[in-house]
This record gives sequence, C-alpha cells and structure tokens, in this order.
Amino acid sequence: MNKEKFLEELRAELANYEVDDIDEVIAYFDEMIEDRKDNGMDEATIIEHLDSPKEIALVLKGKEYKEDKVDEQLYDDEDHIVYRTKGTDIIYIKVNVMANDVEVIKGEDDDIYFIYDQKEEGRFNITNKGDELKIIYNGPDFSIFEKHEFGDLKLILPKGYLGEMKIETVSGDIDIKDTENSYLKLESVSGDITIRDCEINILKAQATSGHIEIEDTKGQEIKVEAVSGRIELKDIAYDFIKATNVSGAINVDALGDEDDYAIYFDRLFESYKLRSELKDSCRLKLEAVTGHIDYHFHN
Amino acid sequence: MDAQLKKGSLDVCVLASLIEGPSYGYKIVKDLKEVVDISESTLYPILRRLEKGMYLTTYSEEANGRLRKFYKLTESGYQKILDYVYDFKDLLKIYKYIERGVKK
Repeated sequence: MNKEKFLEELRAELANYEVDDIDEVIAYFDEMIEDRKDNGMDEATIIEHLDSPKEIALVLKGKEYKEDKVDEQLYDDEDHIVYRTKGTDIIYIKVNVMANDVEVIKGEDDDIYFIYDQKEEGRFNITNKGDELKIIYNGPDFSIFEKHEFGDLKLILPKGYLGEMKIETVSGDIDIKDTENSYLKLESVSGDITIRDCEINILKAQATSGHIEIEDTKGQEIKVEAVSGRIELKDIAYDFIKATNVSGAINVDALGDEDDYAIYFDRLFESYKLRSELKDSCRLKLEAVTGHIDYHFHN
Repeated sequence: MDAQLKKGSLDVCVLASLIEGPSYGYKIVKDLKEVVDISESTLYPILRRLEKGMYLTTYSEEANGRLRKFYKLTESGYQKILDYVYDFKDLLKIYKYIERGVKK
C-alpha cells in the first residue's frame, strides 16, 4: 500500500469512529511516514509496520475518550474501550453478538456509550447512520464452551432515550435495567434474559435454553417465548401479556386486577378460557406443552 | 505491568524525552522505543493528552521542505517529571520492603 491510500483509509476510519481533529491525526502520520522515508525505509515497508487504519482509529477513539471525557465511574479500569456517540438523534439500536454478555442501563447524559474489553479490540463493527446505531460482533469463530474468554459489553443509553432496541446473542446473557424503550426485542439461544425496573411499551423476549426473568416493568404489550428455560414475570404491569414455553415453567405474578383480564390458559390436557374478550380488555395468554404454569394478580 | 502505573509512567517518559530540547514525533518514538513499548499509534494520544494538560506546547517549523511539528516541554511539564522522580523515591522504599519479603 502507498502513503496516499493509507492516509485515505485512515481518514475514512477516523470519520467512521468519530475521532476528533482528523486533520491533526493525518498530519501526524503523514509526518511519521515522511520521516521514515528520509531515514532510508521504503514506503510500503513503513506502512506494513504501522497499525492498520482501523486499529489506529480504535486506539484513538478508545483512549481519547477514556482519558478525557468519560466519567470514571462508568468503567472499571484501563482494560476497556469506550465508544461514545451523541444519542439525541438515534431512534434505533441494534446489537448482535455471540458469546458476550450484554448489560444495558440508562445513563446520565445524552450520549450512547458502548464499553467493551480491550481483548475484543477490533472485533465490533459499529455503524452510526445518524438515526440508527448498529453494533455487530465481527470477531473470530469461537466455541461456546470458551465463554470465559469474552469480555462483557455494557451499553449505556441516553437519559431520554425512548427509541427501539433489538439485541441478539447466542450464548451471552442479556441484562437490562432501568431503561425506557418504545420497542425492545431480545433474542438469545442459551443466554439468560433479565429485565428489571424498565418501562417498555412493546417487549418481546425469546430464549431457547436460557431463562427469562422480568421484574418491576410496565408497558403495553409483552410477549415472551422460551423452550426449556424458565419464564418468570414478577410485578409487571401490562395490558397484554403472552408467555409461551415448551418444557420450561411459566410463573406470572402481575400487577393489576384479575377481573380486568381475559385469560387463556393452554397446557397439555389442561386448557381453559376465563372471561370473554371485550374490545378494550386486558389479556393474559399462557401456553406451555409440559412446563408448569402458575399465575397471580395483585395490586 | 499494572495498567495505572504504566499509563502514568509512559506520560512522564514522553515528557522526559523533551528535557534536552524540543523534539518531533518520529524522533520521540525512536528515542523511547529502547526504553518502553511504544508505537506511533500509542504515542499520539499521549501527546494529545499532555498538550491538553498543558504539560507541553507545540509549534511547526519547516524542515526538509515540509512542515514538522515540534513538541516542547513547559514549566508544568518539567514539574510533572520532578514530581514523578520524587514520588518514585517513596515507591522505591515500598519496593525494597516487598522485595525483602520475597527473598525471605
């Protein structure tokens, strides 16, 4: 590769990761390369020995913000990289990872923070299209038995974020606390899904062997599906509640008055329907094949 | 090496490379490579951080037909180096104590 191409790619990556003072960075590397040339090295070899444009952008992005702008309490130590971007225009966040555990919490300002382990440097494809933020794991193949190798991910949402969010993992756990979303869809294969203290208008959660636990959360519609994992909905306040499980148990302890709900209960050899569905009535639909189902309402 | 310790030391190392006079990127990397594990990419954020902290200032000068950016130590930058050396004397005391324990 020649210098022009390298600097061109570097400029693009710096813009991609929203690094400050791009012209300064380019001038710095331009000077470095020229100085080496003056000392007898040839351009191609010089560039081969430099970090790739993407790595440079990541280093500058992570270290720049680690030092200058991010609150010390947000991350533990030197071992994390922090991606930070303005969240006021973002209305859709998509996270797609494999073995990393994902934690989502509400932040103190208007920015979105995505924090991950240094070990995972360069493994995430982060694209910000102005109104849409996508974080996709782009790392090497892995074995789900080696889960301990992967760092946790922390996603901090802007204080006033009311947009949509979709998080998919294979073996990673998903943990959501204290957020407000208009639409949240969570999918995991073997990871557990835990949601606490949230306000989510339309909430959909799906786990294959993982457990789903939702507590102290309210909204309009909640649809939860599991296969062998346990579903536990505690102190939730929703107009429409649907939980489906195959062999796992379903346990619902909802806030509200049972009399307000049309109830459908469907289990092998045991089905019933309570109360006809009126136009505006709340609905509770619980379906399992062999899993045990239990529900309560309280105020 | 402990991350916090390393970070503080690298910053002071970069400042120390300027004690004998202003220097520029390529030369700083060359001088420090023998002492610490540093690359062009890791040097840049350190220089930026030190500039923001006003431990060094920058200016540009023409050399070899192009513009070269020089980094120059400030009074507070020099003070930071002195503080480090002073603190290290305490650290040395602690180190000797620990080492004695290990040797036993």
